[in-house]
Amino acid sequence: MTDPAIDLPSEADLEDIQGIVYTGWTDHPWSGFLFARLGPDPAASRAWLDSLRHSVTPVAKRCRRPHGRLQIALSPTGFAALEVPHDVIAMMPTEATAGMASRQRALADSDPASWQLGGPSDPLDVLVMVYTRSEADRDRDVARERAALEAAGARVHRSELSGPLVKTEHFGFADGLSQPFLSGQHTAPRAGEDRVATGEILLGYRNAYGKLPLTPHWGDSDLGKNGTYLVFRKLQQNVAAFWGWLADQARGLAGDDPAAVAQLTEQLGAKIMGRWLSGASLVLSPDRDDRAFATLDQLNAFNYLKHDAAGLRCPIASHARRANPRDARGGDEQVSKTIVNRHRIIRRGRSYGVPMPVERAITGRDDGAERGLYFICLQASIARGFEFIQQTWLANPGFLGLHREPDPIIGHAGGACHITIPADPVRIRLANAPTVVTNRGGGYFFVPSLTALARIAAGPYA
Amino acid sequence: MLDTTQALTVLAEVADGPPRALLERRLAEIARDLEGNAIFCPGALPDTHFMRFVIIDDPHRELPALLAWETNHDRRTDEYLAEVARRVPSIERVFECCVGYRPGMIAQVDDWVGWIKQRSYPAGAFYTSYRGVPRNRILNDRDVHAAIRAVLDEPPRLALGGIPPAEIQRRICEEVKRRRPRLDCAARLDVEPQLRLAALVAIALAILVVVAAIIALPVLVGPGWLALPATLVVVGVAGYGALRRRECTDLATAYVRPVDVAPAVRAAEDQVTQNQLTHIVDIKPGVFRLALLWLVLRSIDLLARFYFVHGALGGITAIHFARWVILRDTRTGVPRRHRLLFFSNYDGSWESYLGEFIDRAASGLTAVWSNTRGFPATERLLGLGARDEEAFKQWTREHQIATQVWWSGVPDQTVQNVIDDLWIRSRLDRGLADHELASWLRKL
Repeated sequence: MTDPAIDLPSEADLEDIQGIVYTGWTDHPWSGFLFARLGPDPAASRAWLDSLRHSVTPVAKRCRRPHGRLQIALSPTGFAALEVPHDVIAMMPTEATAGMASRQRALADSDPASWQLGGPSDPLDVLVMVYTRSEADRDRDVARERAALEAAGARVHRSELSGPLVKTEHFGFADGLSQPFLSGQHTAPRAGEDRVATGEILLGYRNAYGKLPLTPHWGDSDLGKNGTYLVFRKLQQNVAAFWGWLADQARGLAGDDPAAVAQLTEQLGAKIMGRWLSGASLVLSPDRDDRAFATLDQLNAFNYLKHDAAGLRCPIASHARRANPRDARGGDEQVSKTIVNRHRIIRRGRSYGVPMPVERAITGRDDGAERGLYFICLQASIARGFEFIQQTWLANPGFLGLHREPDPIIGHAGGACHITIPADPVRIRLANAPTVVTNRGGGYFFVPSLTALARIAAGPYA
Repeated sequence: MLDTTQALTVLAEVADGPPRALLERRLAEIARDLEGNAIFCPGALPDTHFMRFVIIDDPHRELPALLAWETNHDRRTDEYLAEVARRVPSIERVFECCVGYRPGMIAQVDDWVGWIKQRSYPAGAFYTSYRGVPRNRILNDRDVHAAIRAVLDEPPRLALGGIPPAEIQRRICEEVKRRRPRLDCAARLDVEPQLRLAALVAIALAILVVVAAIIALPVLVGPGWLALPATLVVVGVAGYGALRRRECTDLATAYVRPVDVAPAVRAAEDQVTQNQLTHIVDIKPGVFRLALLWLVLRSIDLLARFYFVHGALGGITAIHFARWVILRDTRTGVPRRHRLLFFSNYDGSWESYLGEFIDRAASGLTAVWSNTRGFPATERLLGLGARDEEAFKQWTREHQIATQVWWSGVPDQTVQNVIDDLWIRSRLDRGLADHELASWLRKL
């Protein structure tokens, strides 16, 4: 059962690692995210951290309170504001210290100057994540954490609030389905879930190359061990533009019959997303949304190469296939899987804003309300994790032989793009896909272990 | 030689002071507007796939600064250079800043070609994904594919329902020819797969001949017949021993923090479709490493020339053109520092390129770069090395330098696009078997 090449965190480690690494806190459907720039007095900021760290929830179940979960992430500028020495911070990867706003071209992002969060003149030092069982609890906890930060001199952004948790994102698709399996807590992966090396997510463990990655050492203490890098992106979704455009395309292809147009609209949506609304795989169920394939055991029980190398079921250009090409990344099945598993991330996203029903969305008329996804992911290397997936698979217009076709959902910040949907005898090519997801900001953070939080809170003179 | 794609590497010394400053200014101005600057527009070069200008400085300030000019071009080098002199004499304004250049020289074409060739270095190993496919053919085939897309997508759309595949193909072909009569849709193949087979057979034959000679020659010359094979064995064993000894004692750079990447390098990378890399590192001192490196590069060159002909260097599908060039240090009276220069023109991101290196070609790269300073520890020439992912990436970063001017003659095209376009055009106007016809239609 256990693979000798995979390091297992010990019981003590599970009491040290923040819980979000192993769980999305789905039993806490309400959440709030506080971004702050720490104040000019490092001692006050450290005092804030020192009192907060006792409330941070680790993985180990016996260390949890009955309800209410709290997680904390610090950016490299946050480390500096807490007086972690610069030569320690310089041991973090360059993309992390440079920050997300500096990676606009690589990520095919919107102009960071227009971001609501983390733009070039808005460095974010800390991210406090609050998860609760009720809305009232969430509001209370968020207010409390905000007050604590402000009392320490921090400038806190408008609260980013989410809830209640639903299983679908705003376009209506089941989300967060394909996750790598991280050893340590649950006993066995489900069908089609790939067990990844612990070091792909957590620092201090061997990664997929069998190596220990670089980690920030502060004297004798390893600030990286049991920690992970976190990417936060506030992705605004234009639901009416998405379904309205698809309905237009369906009318162009299917003519005037409303039933046929409705069916084709849903089908085109599935072809572009790479899964049906229910989450069922197009490879397993090519013609209709069959919920029998949307069960936990079926959701990931498929590969592409054997049954769908050409993408006749699930287009190569589709979002889900690009984000995780499984065995069809090139080379034989095993080579492809090995390579793909060197680029896996754990996703912990939550939606924000009021949902728009699909029936309303296909009319194409926007209601002007802001809605979207707080995209959150975890990995030991942002360059090899999130950035690689975003840049090399999603935004890459030449992905696996495609030509000028970035990801139809999140791969292009502006300008219309094509989408090729393989079919017999020849493909359907949809033109002028609108931008349906816009990044409104975010940043690169580190989620330290409880030990590391204590070390940082103790300060440089400890 | 059937080979029409050539790698030209010119290295000219740059004088310190005002000429150097002038060169930097001019290269910056060219880079600012590749197609419209007043100095030199690479787009005017004939039959050129990719080109770059790089100023190579010695971080130890012992060796003179060099201006490197890389082109990947069609036709024989002499013809190409003469054509450059005639068609883009303004390229002189770049070379004017180099030692020994006489302004106005380009008017005497032969003098200019001579001057350039004097400073040109052979590639130790040269690789391309589509060897022998001229640039104008690539552009033609790209346009043919675009025309096919237009025929299928733009009104009036062809009605294809219920039509047999062969008829669809015929109609597409007819329509492309009607709409774009000047495109060449001929069904000729440019890279013959048979060539690869023939080359393999030729290499196998050559090896057989050598082996036969080793066995037969001593028999013919008499009792000393064991001398040659015995010498070879002795040299082989001694060489292996020498390598293993060095592998145990060579210093690999230990990285405890990421290497700082020069802002100029960062600013130029992460372009959308294609990117470039310039990398230069000292070869480990001594004749042994230099000789071994030469041998490894020649082997890779041979494989690249005859085996990896079609789109994949050891499984890497993203390299348009890449080359290694050994820069011999000819100084006397000082310990010599030979260097290894690497140019690559590739698809996608730096991270994906390096990842492919590690995932698919670690042995070959280790065999090459293990002969250079600081490379991650290796085992038996091919083992370990590049497989130490983080150390290999940091080492690459440490020796990567900024490229001042870089130009692509096939922008927006990935290697896969080039190969697909070629494949599609060569089958547009030709009868195909059912299964091939189905794949053809799916690729459009």
